[in-house]
Amino acid sequence: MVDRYHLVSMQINNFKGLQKVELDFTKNGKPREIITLFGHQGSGKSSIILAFQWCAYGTSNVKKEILYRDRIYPDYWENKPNDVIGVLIRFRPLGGNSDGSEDIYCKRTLDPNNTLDNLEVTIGSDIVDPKKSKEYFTQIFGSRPSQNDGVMWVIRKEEMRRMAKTFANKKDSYYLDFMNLNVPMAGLVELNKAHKRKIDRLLRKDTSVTTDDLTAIISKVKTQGKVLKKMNEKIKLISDDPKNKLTTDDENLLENKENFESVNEKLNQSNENLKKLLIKNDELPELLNTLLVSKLRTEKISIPKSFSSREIDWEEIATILESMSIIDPFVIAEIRNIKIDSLYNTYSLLNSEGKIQEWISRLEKLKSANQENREHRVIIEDYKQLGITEESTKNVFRKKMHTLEAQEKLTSLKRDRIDTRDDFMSLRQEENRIRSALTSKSKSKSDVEKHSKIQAIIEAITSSIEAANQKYLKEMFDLTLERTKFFWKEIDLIKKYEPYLESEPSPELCLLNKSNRTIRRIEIDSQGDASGGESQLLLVCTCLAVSESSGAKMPIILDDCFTDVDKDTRKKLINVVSDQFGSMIFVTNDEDKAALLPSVDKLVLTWKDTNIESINTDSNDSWCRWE
Amino acid sequence: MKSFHNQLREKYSCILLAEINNNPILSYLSEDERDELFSELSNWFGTSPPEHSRVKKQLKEIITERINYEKVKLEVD
Repeated sequence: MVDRYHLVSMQINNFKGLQKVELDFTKNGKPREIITLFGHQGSGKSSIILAFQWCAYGTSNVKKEILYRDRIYPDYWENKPNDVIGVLIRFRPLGGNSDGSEDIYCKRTLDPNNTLDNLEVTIGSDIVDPKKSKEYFTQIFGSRPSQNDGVMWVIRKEEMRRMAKTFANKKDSYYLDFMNLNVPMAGLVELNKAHKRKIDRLLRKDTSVTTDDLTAIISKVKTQGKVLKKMNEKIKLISDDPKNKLTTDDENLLENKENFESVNEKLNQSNENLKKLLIKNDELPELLNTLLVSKLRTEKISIPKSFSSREIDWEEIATILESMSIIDPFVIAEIRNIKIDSLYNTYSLLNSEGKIQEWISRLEKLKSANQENREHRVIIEDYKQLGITEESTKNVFRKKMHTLEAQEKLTSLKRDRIDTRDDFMSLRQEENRIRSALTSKSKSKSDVEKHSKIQAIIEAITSSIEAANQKYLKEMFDLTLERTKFFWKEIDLIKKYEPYLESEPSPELCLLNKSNRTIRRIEIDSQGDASGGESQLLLVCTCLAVSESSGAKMPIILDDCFTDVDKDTRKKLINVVSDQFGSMIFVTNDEDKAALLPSVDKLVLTWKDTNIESINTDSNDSWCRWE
Repeated sequence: MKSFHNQLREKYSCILLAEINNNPILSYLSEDERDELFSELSNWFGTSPPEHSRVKKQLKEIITERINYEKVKLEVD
């Protein structure tokens, strides 16, 4: 297995601003260990580095990447590709034959009419089959990095910055980007938020309702239901009670009641009247006398002081009196029994003479009252035949009063029942609302549980990834730290600090003062207390450590990446890199830096206008051509 | 020979799988479910940046449909 490769030459065709460039990296037929590319701004240094990169990994399909198809087309094509883009790099294995028989030619071309790049590897003069060609590419350049992996063997400010962020424990981690889990992590965070929002929304629903509320409302509904039931029973009882209903007979009775009472009243009055007019026993002598006087007068008989009763026809008088029906029959009988021979005291007769008219009037009244009374009795008797009596009318009246009272009670009960029913319905509605809320709450509870479980899993995955990230970083930092320490020790001239991995609160690469054990953090984004030069050197050492462990066998390219490092340290750095990696390309636009290494085999290239000029005194080779 | 990136991914895979298996919440899931979860995550290792919405959709699908989240027991306050 070849440890490293030297660069022999490079040919670039139609790549970015480079139309046709041939670079020879040898001197006297031998590959140089250190190649310094010097050029002013815009001279094409970065394009040459990108040409290396493109040859190694090919055209990108991602628009924003620097090696995207449209971005590598030469400007002079004006976006109308009409020729083949190609880069050919010739390598010689470390210790390989100087005749070039072991040299490996890695060639990548892109025909604008094709979508895929074409790889071709030639060893010596033998063309290798496509599958093997790919293997050679991977062996020399390492596997194709993902978007943010970085190119292991090119150390630019971008790579250093990424490494700085990585070691300052920023999210933008060089190591973690290999895992490509940033997008899934972001997705998990969003999913977590979505479930949290759902849970919050569910929890905001009616939480005031409890099963106790339901129990209470059910009790109220039951109580109110019982009240309503009792009212209904009472209403039914009153409605169904025959005592509270008037029959047809009752109605008839009531209809005749007034007339009956009127007649009855009249009868009573006539009874009273008759009672008053009826001749009492003690009045009887006076009446008899009066009648007698009247008879005597009619017969024109003068009334002596006394006379024999024989002269009077008592029988006739009795008959007259009887016909008048105004005298008690007993009295009539008595009259008939009067002894004709008995003497009769006429004194009272004489006194009765003046009362004839009075008695006539009274007798007429009596007769009339009697007649009236008889008529009333007949009517009352008729009523009786119909069942209409004073008692029955009183009873029906009482019944009517009772019915009215019952009706009034019924009306009141029905009115109360409306209110009770309304209350009952309201309570039922409230019960339904609480039941519904509890059902909804129960569903909400189940949904909350579901989303909480999903959320717990999301958080568990997230925390697993975060924990894995931390552990992995720690391992990678440990792994890198050893080689970083080595490079630091080889390059650093002061020997005051050494790379140190601070593990708390999270892994962070720092510089440790060897004497007082204080820590200096990498200067990044104006934070950290290490100097710019110290920070740069630590990062370059770290990049070299990563590059070394990447397995790539491509020479290291240092693209002006240690501007803050002092001159002597820079020299040391270049030498160490050259020693450790076999060969390197140092790219700069600073003439002083380009002339850093006068004592080692080097070549400085400059482009001025379209001509290449060597400023290195020990090189007379015109090994590069810029066209 | 494994590439450097593949070595790193293997190392990370081991760590992530261990974390997933040791997570108390994820321990309610079956081993197969945890493997499926890990497999889904590792699918994104080293691919070109996946489309955000697609990743989210796939994660949602695996969490809500392909694994039985009901098995998870939540702590009761």
